[in-house]
Amino acid sequence: MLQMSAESDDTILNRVTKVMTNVFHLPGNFSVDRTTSSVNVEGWDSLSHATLMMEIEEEFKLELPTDQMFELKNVGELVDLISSEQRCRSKTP
Amino acid sequence: MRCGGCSVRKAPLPASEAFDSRIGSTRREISSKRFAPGGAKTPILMKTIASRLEYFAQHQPQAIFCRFLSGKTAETITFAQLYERSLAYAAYFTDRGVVRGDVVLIILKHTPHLFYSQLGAILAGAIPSFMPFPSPKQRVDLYWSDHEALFNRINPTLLLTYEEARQAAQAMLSDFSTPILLASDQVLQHKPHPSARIALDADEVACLQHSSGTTNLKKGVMLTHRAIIDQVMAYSSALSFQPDDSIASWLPLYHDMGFIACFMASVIQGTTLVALDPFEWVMRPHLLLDAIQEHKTTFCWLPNFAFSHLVNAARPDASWDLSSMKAFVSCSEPSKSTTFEKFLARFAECGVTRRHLQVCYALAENVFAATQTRLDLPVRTMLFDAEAFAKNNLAQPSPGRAALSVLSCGLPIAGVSLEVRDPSGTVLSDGIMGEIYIHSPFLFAGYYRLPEQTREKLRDGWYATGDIGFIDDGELFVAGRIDDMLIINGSNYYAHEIETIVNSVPAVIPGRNVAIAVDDPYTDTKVVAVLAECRHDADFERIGQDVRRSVLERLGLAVHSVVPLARGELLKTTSGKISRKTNAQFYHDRVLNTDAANVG
Repeated sequence: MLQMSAESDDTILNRVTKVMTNVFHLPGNFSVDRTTSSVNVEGWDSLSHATLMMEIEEEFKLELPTDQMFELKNVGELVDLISSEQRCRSKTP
Repeated sequence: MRCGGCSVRKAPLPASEAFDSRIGSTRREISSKRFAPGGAKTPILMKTIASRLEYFAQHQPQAIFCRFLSGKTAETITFAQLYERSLAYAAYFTDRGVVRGDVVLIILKHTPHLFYSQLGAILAGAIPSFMPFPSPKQRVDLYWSDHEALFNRINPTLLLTYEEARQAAQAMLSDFSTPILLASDQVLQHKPHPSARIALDADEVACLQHSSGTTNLKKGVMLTHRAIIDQVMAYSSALSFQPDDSIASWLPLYHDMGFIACFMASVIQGTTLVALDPFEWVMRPHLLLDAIQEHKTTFCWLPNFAFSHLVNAARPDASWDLSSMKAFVSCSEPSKSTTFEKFLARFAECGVTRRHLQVCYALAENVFAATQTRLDLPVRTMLFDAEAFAKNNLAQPSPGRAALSVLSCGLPIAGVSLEVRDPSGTVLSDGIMGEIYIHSPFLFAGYYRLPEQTREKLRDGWYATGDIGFIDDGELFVAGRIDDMLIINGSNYYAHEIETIVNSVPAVIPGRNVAIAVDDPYTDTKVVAVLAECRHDADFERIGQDVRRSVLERLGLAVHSVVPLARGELLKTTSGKISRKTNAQFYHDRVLNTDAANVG
C-alpha cells in the first residue's frame, strides 16, 4: 500500500489555498488563512463546497469522511482534517 | 389537448381509474390488479395510506420497499418490516397519549425511522409532519427560536427527533411544553397492539406538508388520504408507472418531491425506493448514478441544479450504465434546455437519450404533480420574443429577434384543470402570460390553522399558485413567480425575509437593501445576490462577510454576492419604492457585465 507522510499545516494550507483559488476564482490579492470561511468567499455555498471537497480529495489523494465535510466551519478545520487523514494513512501498514 | 379559444384545460381521467373527488363512490376504489406487484387478483379497498401499507405487507411481505443507502452501508427494508416497524411506532405514539387528529412533528436526519415514524403516526390516526433539521451552517439557537412561533401555532402533541436536537430544543424553547421523544431502534421493540391501529377515513387529514417558505412563512398544507392516493394514481398513469418500476432518490422527505413522488408513491404502489442521504449526495453526487446502475431503477426526480451537479461532479473517465432509466424528471425549480443539453452530452454514452429527460410542474397544494411531459417524446422548447415577453406578457415567436427559451412542463395529469388568469380574474387566451390557477380532485384541504390564508389562495375550488405562465397547445409553460419568492436549489425563500435579516447588519441602512436571484451559469441554478446601501463610514469588505454570516446563520442559505452601495444608489420606481426587478436589471447590467471592484 502507498505510504505517505503527513505534511506540515503550513504546507497543507498552501495547497488548500491553491485549490480554493481555482474553485472560487479568487483574486490574486485574496488572503486565505485558517479563519477563512464561507462568509469571506463569494460563491462558497453547499454546491461549490462539494466541488471544493472533490478537488481537495484529488489534490491530496485522500478520501475525506463525508459527514465531517459538512461540519467544517473554516479553512483551519479543513487543514486539520486533511492532516488527520494523512496521519492515519501514514500509519497504515 | 386544445379547448378552442378558452384557456381551461382538463385532462380526461383514465377510464380504468375514473373517480369523482367530491362524491364518495365505489368508482374511487382502486383495483389491485394494476398496482400490486405481488400479483394479488382480488380487488381490494385501499382508500387510506394505512390500508395500502397493510395490503402490501400481507400480499407481498418479502417485496423490497426500500434499499436505504447511508455511508458505506445499505439496509434493505421489506414491506412486512416496514409495516411491523410502523406499527411499533404507532404503539409508541399511542402509549404516550397521541390520539386521532393529533399533530406529530418529525425532525430527523437520514434514517429509516423517517419512514417508520411517519407511517406509524398515520396508523395511529395522528397527523405527522416532517420538518428539516438544522443544517451545520445554521446557528442552532436561531433555528429553534425561529421555529417557536410555528410550533405554537401548530401545537403538536409530540416532537420526535434525535438526542442532539432534543437537548437544543429543551435549552432554547423556554415555553415549549410539547413532549420530545427520541427515534431509536428501541422504539421498534414496542409490541404492536390493536388500539394503536385505528380505522381511518379516506377524507381525514393524513399529514401536513411544510415545504414552502422560510420558517416564519411556513404553512402546513393539509393533505387527506384520498388526495394523496388519487394524486399518486393519476400521476402514475401519466408516467405509465408499472409495478416493476422503481425510484432512485437523494431527496429529503420534508420536500414534496422526496415525500410524495418518491416515498409515498412507493408505499401506495408497493414498489421499491432506493434512498440516499441528501447531504451525502450533495458531497458525492456520483452515488446516485452508482445506485441507478446497481439497482437498475427506472425513475428519478431532480431539481434543475441537480442535473448540473451530476455533470459537474462526474469525473471525465467515469462511466455508468444508466440504460435502465425511463425518465429523469426535472421539477421544483425552472427547468432549462441548456441544462438538459449538458446532461445529455455527458451521459449519452451511459444510455441517456433526449427522451429520458422530462419535466413536471408540481406543488404541495396539489399534493404533487399538476402537469407532466410525455415520456414518449422529447420535451418541447418554445422560443419567443424576449421584448414582447417582458413588456406585454406575450409568448410569441420572434424570428430574427432576441429569444427566450422556455421548456414545456407538459400536459395536465388526469383530473387537473388549469387556467391562466389576469389580475382581475379574467381567463386569458393561449400564449398570454398570467397567474396559473389549478383545480383538481386532489387539491389540499387548506392550510393548518390558517383559515384566512386558505381563503386567500383557495377560491371556488381553484388554487391560485402564484406562478406565472402561459398555455400553448395544451401544454403549460412556467415563466416565474408573481410574488417575491426566490427558488434556490429547489428550496423556497422570500426576498423580504432575507432583506429583513440584512437590515440587522449594523453597517447597512435599514430598509435599503434588496435580495434578488441571479443565474449562475456553472451550477445552472439561481443564486442570491444582495444589494445594500451602507453607511458612509462602513467597511465594505466587512459588510459582505456580515451579510453572508447573518443570512447563513438564520436560514442556512449562502448569499452568493453582496454589493455594497452608497446611500441613494438603489434604483426606485416612479412612486419612490425600491424595486427588486429594476435593481435585478441593474445588477445584471452593471455588476455581472462589468468587473465591479466593490463586489464583496
